[in-house]
Amino acid sequence: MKLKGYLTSRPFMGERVPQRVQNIVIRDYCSNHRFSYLLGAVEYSFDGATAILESLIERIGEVDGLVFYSIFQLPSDDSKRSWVIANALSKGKEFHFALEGISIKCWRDEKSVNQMWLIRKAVDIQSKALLKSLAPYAL
Amino acid sequence: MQDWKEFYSREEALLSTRFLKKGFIVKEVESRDALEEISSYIEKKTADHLGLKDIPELDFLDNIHTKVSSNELNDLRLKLIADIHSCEWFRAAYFNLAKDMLSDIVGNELVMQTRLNLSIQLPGDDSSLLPIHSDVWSGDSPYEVVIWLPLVDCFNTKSMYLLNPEKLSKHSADFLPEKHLDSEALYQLVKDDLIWLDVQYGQVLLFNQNLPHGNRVNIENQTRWSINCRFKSIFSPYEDKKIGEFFEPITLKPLTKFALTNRWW
Repeated sequence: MKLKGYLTSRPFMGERVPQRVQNIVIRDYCSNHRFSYLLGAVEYSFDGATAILESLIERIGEVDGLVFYSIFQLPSDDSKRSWVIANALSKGKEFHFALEGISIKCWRDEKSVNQMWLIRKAVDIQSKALLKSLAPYAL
Repeated sequence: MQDWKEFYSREEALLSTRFLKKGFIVKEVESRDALEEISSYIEKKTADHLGLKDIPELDFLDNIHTKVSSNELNDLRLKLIADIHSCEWFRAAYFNLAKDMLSDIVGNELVMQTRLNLSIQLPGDDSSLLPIHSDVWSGDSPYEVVIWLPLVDCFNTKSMYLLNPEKLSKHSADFLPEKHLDSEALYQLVKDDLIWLDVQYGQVLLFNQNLPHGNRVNIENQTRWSINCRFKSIFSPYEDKKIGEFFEPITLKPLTKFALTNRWW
């Protein structure tokens, strides 16, 4: 299976991972699964940009899918994320995520990845103030 | 007092008090079938990796040091961890060993560590020791607990120790970084206040990983085998170990599924 890499230079979910580290983790994942790793494309650095990802999917051609460092490099906007995944699945292509060691090959996989996204967003919304307000109940 | 007048059932309140006072709970596993499947799977895979046709004796795991040297141990452990992760039912079986206890102590909407850890400690072997530590010192959230399953009877140095929570305040200053104490010096300071956990095969241990814990060279004449895995409430705060890379949701409830995915108003 041939996978093309997708890397980002901006932080995602409050974390920044150097591209060199993203590449190492992706290479390791591909080597463990005996996938061929085709050198990656790097997304534009401005917030919310997904142009490179969208064009990779539009011109995906002979490649079997894309390999990301993390599921949290997918678009953070829920509808854009769904659109990107739907577009790839409709072409029979896969998404792989090296850090988490998971992949999207069908709609069921999409559901479980999307669930992790939504939980992570919901958890990030929780404020420290909420935790402080709960503290008296722990006594 | 009638139970219906209380938010916590009597059993839940007792368990909760015990956890807060002792920092751990040891109970019979909640699914004996799950335990037996887990044990036989590990025994069978171990025998396969050692090139044995059958599992030779009843206390095969206890006596594995007669068949594996300390140099060969890590290779065996890595192969078994790969087996655990390639087994589709293993994590669900593991969860079912302590599902009700987790619900009482942590909650019922949980995330579970994606990769379970396997510990094998041969007698006299110092190659896989965990010096005294608290998991929160290395990126775990204080909202996590550990479910620890012995595959053999574990006691004394064949088991693990935990700092008695009632002694935590006495030692909290010892753990400050400015003290510059190495882990052995820390152990020596707290060793009289440690609880060595006695957990028999057939039981499961839940412990508070916020409390300093670890193990020492196993000086018993049998090998220790144990598996451990972290659980936390889905919506409690995360630290460095995040959903996706370290944790996976396992018991999302219907209303949460609905609320996460519907924004129609």
